[in-house]
Amino acid sequence: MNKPSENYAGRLSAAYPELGFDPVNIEKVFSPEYFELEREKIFKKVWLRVGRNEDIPNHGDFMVKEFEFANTSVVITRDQNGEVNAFHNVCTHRANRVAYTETGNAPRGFTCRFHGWNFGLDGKLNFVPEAGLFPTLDTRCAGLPPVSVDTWEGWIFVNLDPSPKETLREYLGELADGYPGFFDDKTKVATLTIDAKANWKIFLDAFVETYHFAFVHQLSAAAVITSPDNPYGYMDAARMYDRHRVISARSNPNHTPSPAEAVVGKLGGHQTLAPDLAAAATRQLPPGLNPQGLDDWATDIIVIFPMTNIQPLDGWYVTQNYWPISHNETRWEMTIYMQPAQTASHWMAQEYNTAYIRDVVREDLNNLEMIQQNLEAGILKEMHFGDQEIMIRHSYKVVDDYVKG
Amino acid sequence: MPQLPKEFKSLQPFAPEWALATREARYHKRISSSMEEIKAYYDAVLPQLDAMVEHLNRHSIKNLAAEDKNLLRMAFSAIEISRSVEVWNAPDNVVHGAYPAEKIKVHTLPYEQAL
Repeated sequence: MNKPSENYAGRLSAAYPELGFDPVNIEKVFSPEYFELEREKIFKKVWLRVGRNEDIPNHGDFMVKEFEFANTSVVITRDQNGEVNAFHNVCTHRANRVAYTETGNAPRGFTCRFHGWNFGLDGKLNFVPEAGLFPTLDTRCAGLPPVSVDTWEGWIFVNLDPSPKETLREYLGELADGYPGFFDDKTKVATLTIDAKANWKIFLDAFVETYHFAFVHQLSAAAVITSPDNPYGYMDAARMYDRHRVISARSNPNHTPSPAEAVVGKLGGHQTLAPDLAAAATRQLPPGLNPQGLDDWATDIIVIFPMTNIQPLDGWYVTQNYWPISHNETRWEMTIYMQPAQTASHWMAQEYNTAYIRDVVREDLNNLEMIQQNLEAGILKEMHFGDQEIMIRHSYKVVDDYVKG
Repeated sequence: MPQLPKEFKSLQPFAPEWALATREARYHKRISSSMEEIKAYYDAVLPQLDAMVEHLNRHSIKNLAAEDKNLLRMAFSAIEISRSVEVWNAPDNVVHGAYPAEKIKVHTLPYEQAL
């Protein structure tokens, strides 16, 4: 682990001189006051990824998302025309909730359990018991309060701003055309969640560089990323956009799978963290993936501002959302998507990835709570982000631009 | 006692302890076992893992017989303990301060219902 790194110094940052190399001041950015600004100027204003079309495939399907940062609960529905709708989960009569489970199917819409007002899947107020009691009620104006909703490549996004400044497509900008169809033929395998004591940015920062693999994941995932030629897991093809960002991670081309990993890889279609590079080389990737054509490509880390991370690998992918709960608490949500199982060996690959990823992220998570404790102690005034941490440097700049904007 | 297909009768003595239906149960079994117990199962199951999966692949996953379900559970347990033997030489993750797995909620996988 002593290969000189001079050749690498500044290679990612050179194209982004405005991000600089100086230490970044952190005295304010984890405070409750700063979080208030993030809530108002970011989380209540931008498009947020909440799920996929397949989460609510059929007429009447719905899911409820709790947005602690906005003190609101949002219902997302599939209506009789196949359209996706979103509403605040609040009855317009006397403000009770109308949907009470995380997911479900309600072909007849939502009936408030307080006084039985019924709302359609399109949010319209359909029925008021004893409507004559409300002589001036205009039912056309008393539907569930709408939330802006749109989809991209099968992903459902909502925006809590009553009149969003941009369409979802405008918001996604450079990312919008990069991944046609890539996400469509995979299926949700597992979702891992925790509520942990760390600011949402600390979570985001932990999953956008592979510089930590040689240390945090020394015994686990380092084997598939680092190699004698790349001992610190250097990444490439950094693309810093106006607010989103993408980077390509390399794999260890000489990784020797463990005995169990070898069986799962061979029979499960190589949907593990260690790609079958020979097979991968023959595959046609969408234009946004591996744009530099790395022959040892492992994954692209796509960060959709502010807190969505999507990681396509060869034939499967992992997503994360870091939902802020408060200035020092985050709901971490990781979902693994893989090829739908045709055989038991595909189930083996799904089980392997779920158990393996669970054990690998355990190595990340404890660090994050320690970092949060240290930040709250207020000892450090600044942090250092190196060339390989350009994704983090960019993130703090974009957040700060929004907060000050 | 959970029965295995006759081709895998050499694993039958391990079935009561390792043919477990859920990941939580398999993880719990892993961390509550000694390394000797884990190693004994690993040494017995790994050489047959290929054959086990090939056997299961010959059947429709929509309609696995009871003994094939048990075999699949045995294979999943092999995956669960593989890192104990291959990486940590200990039942659980030895990385200092590794976050407790119990705190991570793993939402049901599609095949858990089929099992």
